[in-house]
Amino acid sequence: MHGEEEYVLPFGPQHPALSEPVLLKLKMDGEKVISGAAEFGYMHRGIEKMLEGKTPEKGIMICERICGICPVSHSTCYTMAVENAANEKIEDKIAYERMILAELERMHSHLVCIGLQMHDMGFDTLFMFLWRERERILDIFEKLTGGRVQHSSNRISSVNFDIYGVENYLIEEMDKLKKGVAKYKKEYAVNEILKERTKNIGVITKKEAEKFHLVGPIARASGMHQDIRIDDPYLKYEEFDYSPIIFDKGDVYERTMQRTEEIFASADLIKKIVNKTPKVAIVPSKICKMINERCQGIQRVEAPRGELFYFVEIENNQIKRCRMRPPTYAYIRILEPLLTDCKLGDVPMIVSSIDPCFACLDRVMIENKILNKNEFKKMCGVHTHD
Amino acid sequence: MIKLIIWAIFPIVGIFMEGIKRKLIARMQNRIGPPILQPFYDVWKLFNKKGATGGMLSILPILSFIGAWSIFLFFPMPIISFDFDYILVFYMYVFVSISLILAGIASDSPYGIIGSMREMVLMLVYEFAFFICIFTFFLYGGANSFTDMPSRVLITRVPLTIVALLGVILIELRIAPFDTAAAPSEIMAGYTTQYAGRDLAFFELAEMTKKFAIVSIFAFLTFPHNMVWFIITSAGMYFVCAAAKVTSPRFRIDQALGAFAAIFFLAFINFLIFV
Repeated sequence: MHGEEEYVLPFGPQHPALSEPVLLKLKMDGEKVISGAAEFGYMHRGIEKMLEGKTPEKGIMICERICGICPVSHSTCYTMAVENAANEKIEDKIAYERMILAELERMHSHLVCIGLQMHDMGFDTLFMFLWRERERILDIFEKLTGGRVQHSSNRISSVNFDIYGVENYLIEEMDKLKKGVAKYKKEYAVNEILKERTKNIGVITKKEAEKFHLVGPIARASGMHQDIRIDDPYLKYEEFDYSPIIFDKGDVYERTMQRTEEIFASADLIKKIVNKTPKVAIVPSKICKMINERCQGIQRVEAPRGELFYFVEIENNQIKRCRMRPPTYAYIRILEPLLTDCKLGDVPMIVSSIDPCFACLDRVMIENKILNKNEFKKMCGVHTHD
Repeated sequence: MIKLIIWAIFPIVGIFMEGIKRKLIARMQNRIGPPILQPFYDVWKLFNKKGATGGMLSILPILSFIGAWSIFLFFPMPIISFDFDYILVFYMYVFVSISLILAGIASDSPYGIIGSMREMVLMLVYEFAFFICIFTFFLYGGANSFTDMPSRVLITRVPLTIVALLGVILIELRIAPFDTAAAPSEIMAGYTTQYAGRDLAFFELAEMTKKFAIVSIFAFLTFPHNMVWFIITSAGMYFVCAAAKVTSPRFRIDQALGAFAAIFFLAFINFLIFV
């Protein structure tokens, strides 16, 4: 900082604009950001290693705790991968219930993201109002599964909750939520200062989106037709005619509007699913299925942030290897191009508009050097005495 | 003697008004909000903590607080008065800002320096507009000092200046859309990032006192000089500021400059009409 023209501003790991720890090293010239480099690894917990040796049923609990915002997607994807490995078929009713929870989670995640974006802009009023709508979804979660954040909803080829008896409540809440979000959407669709702050900021063109293989809402906001629910239908998504919400400009404003529209679409979808779900109670089974033969399974689902992929290998009723590729891992490379040539005031909005989840992202630590045998053993926690 | 006692309680009124502002914002956002005395508790807690060890870091906060406090020597109940004292009052306002900027640079943190830079850039525009506003009021009032300032309503004669002064108040109160110099989601606490304890307490006191000073100069210049009008106007100003904060996001620094250029011209037009 002493007399040099350019300097490095450490944006994080602890910063009011970041909800999770990440270090953005911004090379600055006055107010202008020349380039940005991101450093990850602050949320690494060794979950893949933790899963090894556990029974498939116990793995659900660990997978759910990867992320605090999308636990349903993680547990659904993991359970389905295990079911694929063991060639298990699930009942229709269970598929519908998993879909309802997944869509609720999508709405919840989008509300969190839009709210945080408003907060970064200094628009705390909308942040609080949007999070109040989110509270409604948490209440639904609590009523259905008993947990507001971690739901423990899935089991191998079954679920732990039932919407039997609360169908009307769900539909009513969806109507109320749509009404509330529509009210706040009107607020941020007409606010001139907000438009000035967000339009033409952090633009991802369709070409760039395809080059970086973006997934989820940010790909759809840039005009890519990418939605696992339609491209590779799982559960019962092919029964419902659902068209993805595509915007074409790909700036911060479009991404906000795209997420808002997806909230409405999800609410409609939930209503359709609730109406189609068979009105019978689920008979809970207390038996854990044993998977003794060696088998492998994969599954991908559309998590709130995009495509989530799981690979599971099981042997002797133990997880031998579990590998997940969360959506943030797929699109985080876009962050550095977006952070070149922007203003410091735009950085928090760009980061929050791509909605990164660093708890999902930090799956593996990479050292930038070749390790010898002893160093490798030390890193893996194997103590040698030779 | 009474004047001295009133002068002594002005910073306390400033803290109290800050509490009311927080409560107003909270009620507008449909939440309960902190108790009105919360700023007192905050400052009290900070005073009980250790500050920095000497140098510019501990002198500047005290200087800025003294600067902000001494503004009230000149109005609304003048203790000192001489010809063209409004120029000195204007310099007092600048002095508080300058000591905040110096504090940001002295702390040697990138966030502090960026905060100071932003404040400096904004100051070039808004302090000038502020001076023109004050000067226009004195020209129209035909007065040389705060004691001669006639006690009559000037709204009909200088409407544009009042609008411009409102803009200046928004920026001085660090209220959205002009709170760019202290944007927590971009540069944390701006120039006070590295400060803690007693020094931070002095800064908070200085800022709250200055905010009240700037609201009260508006109340003093635009409305009749009596206690009732003074209280109504300053409370009304805090209400307007709370409403502005609740309904708008923050400008980026270049956009804030653009918006502020417009305010500057508004201030200038009324001034030119008189000349």
